[in-house]
Amino acid sequence: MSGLFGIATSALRANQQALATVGQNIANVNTEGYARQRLSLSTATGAAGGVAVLGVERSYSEWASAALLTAQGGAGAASAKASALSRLETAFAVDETSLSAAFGRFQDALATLSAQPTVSGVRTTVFEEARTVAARFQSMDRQLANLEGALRTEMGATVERINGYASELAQLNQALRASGSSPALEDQKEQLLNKLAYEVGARPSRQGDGPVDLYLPSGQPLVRADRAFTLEAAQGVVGPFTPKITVEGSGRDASFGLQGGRLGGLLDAFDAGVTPRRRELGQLAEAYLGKMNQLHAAGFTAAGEAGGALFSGLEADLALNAAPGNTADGAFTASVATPSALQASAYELTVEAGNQVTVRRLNDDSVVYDGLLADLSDAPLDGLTFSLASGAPAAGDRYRVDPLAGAAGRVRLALASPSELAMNRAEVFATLSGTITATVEPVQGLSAPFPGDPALLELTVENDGSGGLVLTDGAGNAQSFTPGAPVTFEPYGVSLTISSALVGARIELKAQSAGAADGGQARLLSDDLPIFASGESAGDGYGAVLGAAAGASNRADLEAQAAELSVADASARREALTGVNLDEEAADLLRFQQAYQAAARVITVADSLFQSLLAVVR
Amino acid sequence: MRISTQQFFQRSAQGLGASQTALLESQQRLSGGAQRLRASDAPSDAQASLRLTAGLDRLARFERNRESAELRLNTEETTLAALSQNLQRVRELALTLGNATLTEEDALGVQAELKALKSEALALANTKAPTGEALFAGTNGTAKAFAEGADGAVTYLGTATPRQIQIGPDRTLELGPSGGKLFQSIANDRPAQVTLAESNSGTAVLENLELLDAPAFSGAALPLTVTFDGAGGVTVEDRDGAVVPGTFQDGVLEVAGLRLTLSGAPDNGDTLTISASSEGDLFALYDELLAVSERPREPAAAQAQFQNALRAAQDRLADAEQQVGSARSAVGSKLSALEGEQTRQAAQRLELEAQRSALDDLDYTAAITLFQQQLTALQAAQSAFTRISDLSLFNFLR
Repeated sequence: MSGLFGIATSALRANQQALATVGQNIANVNTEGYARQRLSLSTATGAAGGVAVLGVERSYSEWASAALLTAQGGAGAASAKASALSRLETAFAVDETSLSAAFGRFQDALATLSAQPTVSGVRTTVFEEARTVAARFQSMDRQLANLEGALRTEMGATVERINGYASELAQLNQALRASGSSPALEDQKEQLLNKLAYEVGARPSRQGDGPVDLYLPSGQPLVRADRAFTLEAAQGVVGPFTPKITVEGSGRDASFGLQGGRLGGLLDAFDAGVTPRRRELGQLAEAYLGKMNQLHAAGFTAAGEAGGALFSGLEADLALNAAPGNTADGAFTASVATPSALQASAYELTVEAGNQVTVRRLNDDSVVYDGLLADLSDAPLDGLTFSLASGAPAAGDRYRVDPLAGAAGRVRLALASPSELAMNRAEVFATLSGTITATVEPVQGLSAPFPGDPALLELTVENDGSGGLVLTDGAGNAQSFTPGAPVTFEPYGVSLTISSALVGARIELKAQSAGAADGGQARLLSDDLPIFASGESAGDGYGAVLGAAAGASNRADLEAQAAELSVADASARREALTGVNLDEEAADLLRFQQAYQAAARVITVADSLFQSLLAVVR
Repeated sequence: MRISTQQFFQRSAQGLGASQTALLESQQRLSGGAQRLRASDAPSDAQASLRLTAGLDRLARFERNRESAELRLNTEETTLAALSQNLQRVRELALTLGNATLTEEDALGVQAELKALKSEALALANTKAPTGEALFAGTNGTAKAFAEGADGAVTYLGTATPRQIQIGPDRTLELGPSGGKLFQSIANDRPAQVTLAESNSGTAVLENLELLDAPAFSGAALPLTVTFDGAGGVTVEDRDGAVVPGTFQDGVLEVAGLRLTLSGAPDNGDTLTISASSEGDLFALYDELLAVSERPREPAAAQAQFQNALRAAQDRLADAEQQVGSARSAVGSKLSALEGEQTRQAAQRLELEAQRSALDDLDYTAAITLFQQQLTALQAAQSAFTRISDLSLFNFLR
């Protein structure tokens, strides 16, 4: 009899506890990170029988949780990158406010000037449109610089969040160690791990119950036992040797290999999105300036003065940043020498033993110079001249320069008034000496001004070494010719015909304005000029930068969608195991309620049995 | 698979949100009429469209240039037409001058008209282009192409080279011909310039000049001076004083590859100079004819001189007419070049516009179909969600 009571009582207790678990599950149906709990029952082992409560179990699958952490890391990176790159894309307009539209309107104004050079107001329009081109370059660069700043701020905020979660995890580790594992603590831990995976992409190598350690891909611990390591994001102007993310206290670079999580996505958007585009914009600006300045300088103003530079902003004497560990006082500079040959990259200069110097292009890690320090400045490397400005470097010293990032922001109109626009062609006069008969096209649009002051181009007839004749200017430019056939001497674009000449004969060329209202140089400037060594025009150049920005944004969007899907998939798998289903709980509620009622009934039955027995005894 | 309640609601909300976003984008496309909302929707299309836009802008620039060129060429054409009428009238006056019955009053009338015609010619040469500068001043942009001095001599103020205007990708057109070349360097096809000396006392008049032997003529050291002996003989000396062989028979003088036909009889000591033919000046022509009209016609020697002078002036007049005529036909061919470029570029423009439209403009049929489809899907998803979320076992637990 007492056995029956005992059995029923254990059943009542067990079912009551089961109902409580169901209640807990229902209560937490909308709690983020809550894992469904189940009461684990077993047959009581004692001779009295009944049911034993083994404990509350947390539904948990190690692989489902690990898959979710990985997916979270990917999703954090992809969504941060996609949103940064879509912001980057908006800087590159395709409508009337775009840089290419500004080029187009400037060309329109120049074409009008070439057709109607005497109409007043046309010059002013050209001047204003040129100013718009400069302003558009500046505003685009400012937009990109602002975006860089915004990304840096966002990195700072992300790092703050990571630090918060990491210290929470360290405290949780302490609690887990002190009081042992419990479903509530494990829920909290899993949720923190998910958040950290989303923010920084780190996940523990070992999962399961109890305390966990977290490491960054560089091997830097983020949380080790009860200790959290604090990260720091670099703020303000960041030099080429400054790491973007450091570990507080040690200054170690923590960004190495960091790809996952929002932080990894932001770093990627910075290094593979915004910075390269900003360099490409600088490359476009420098190449455009180079070409336009050269052509403008070859023209003449209405007053007959030779034109100068149209825009200012060609980079010159940029100081190279010395690495923090450099031992000597050497200082290097870089200047743009050939704007059309520039590459959108940063450069690292390394001094080696024996006065050897290596210059590496960092975007594809290729060596562009490997030779003596003394010969460094002899020839431009990728359109840049590197030279030792002062001091003497020591072996092992390193320097970096990012010549084009921000170059677009320094573009200005170099003219003070429309009257300084040099829109007229040159009239070229030749003085012949030695045995030579030659004619020079009298009026022509030159593509570069004659060198020197007063401007003068001296050409000498020489043997080309293989039986032919060649014209040289003594500055490395040469043009072979056949007597009687017209030739064009580049880079000045001067056309002449030499009917007969002997070696040693000289032609001295001078240029003056072809007329106050010629407008021929405007015609040359108004065309879609090739500004890059590849022959691409400024409009093509802008299209390429825009295409790169839009393409990257498009790919990042797709990646973000895919990452979202994989998070949805991983969380569905985890939820399938750990989520609360209300219908299921309702059924359980009924099930346990019925079992409880049944157990209570057993007690009633036992009681009536007991009463029957008492009645027999009485 | 087991579905948790939280997951059901979350997934449904996500799905509805995604459908709504897609619907909104479709609506934006429909209201904007653009295929792409942002460049990243189709980066290569965006880049190609940018290039097509630049190409179309370029064609538009050529179009504007052509328009201003056409305006200018039309002005050139009307000016040259007026000038050629002017020269025609001068020709009529020259014929009147040659009339043997010309009276003193007639001559005065001719002189007055010649003066008027000269100032008209000067005004025409100073015509302004539609843009305000002198039409024939080359690249100088001055308000006047020619200035007349106190002595009646006209000087050119412009430059020798014309302006260039771009009317097509590889086509430039010269505008604003140099007035100096057009009016003051009038070419002729006469082999030489023959001048009979003012001091001649005979009645020789040059009737015709032919080139028989070009190499022999080009070898001569011009000018040649022919001196008649009045008895049918001549002596010819070249620039250096060397004697050159020459024959004179029946009024036909043959020297240095040239044949000169003379009428009348030269006196002993009369001379004639053969010099290289020189370029003429339109404005000097009027003065020359004025001088001719003032010459005496008596006696016979003066009459011969008058005839020679008139003939020389008429020759130059013919040259000027030819020069103006060929300038007009040059303008005509430029106008037809404009027309040709216009036709060619219009076709090119259509092609580019079609390409850009294919890239940029919305395919409404497809877009509306998609919109309808998305709308239906969203409605279905919404009604499915409400139906399913109503289904809870708790609703049956009473």
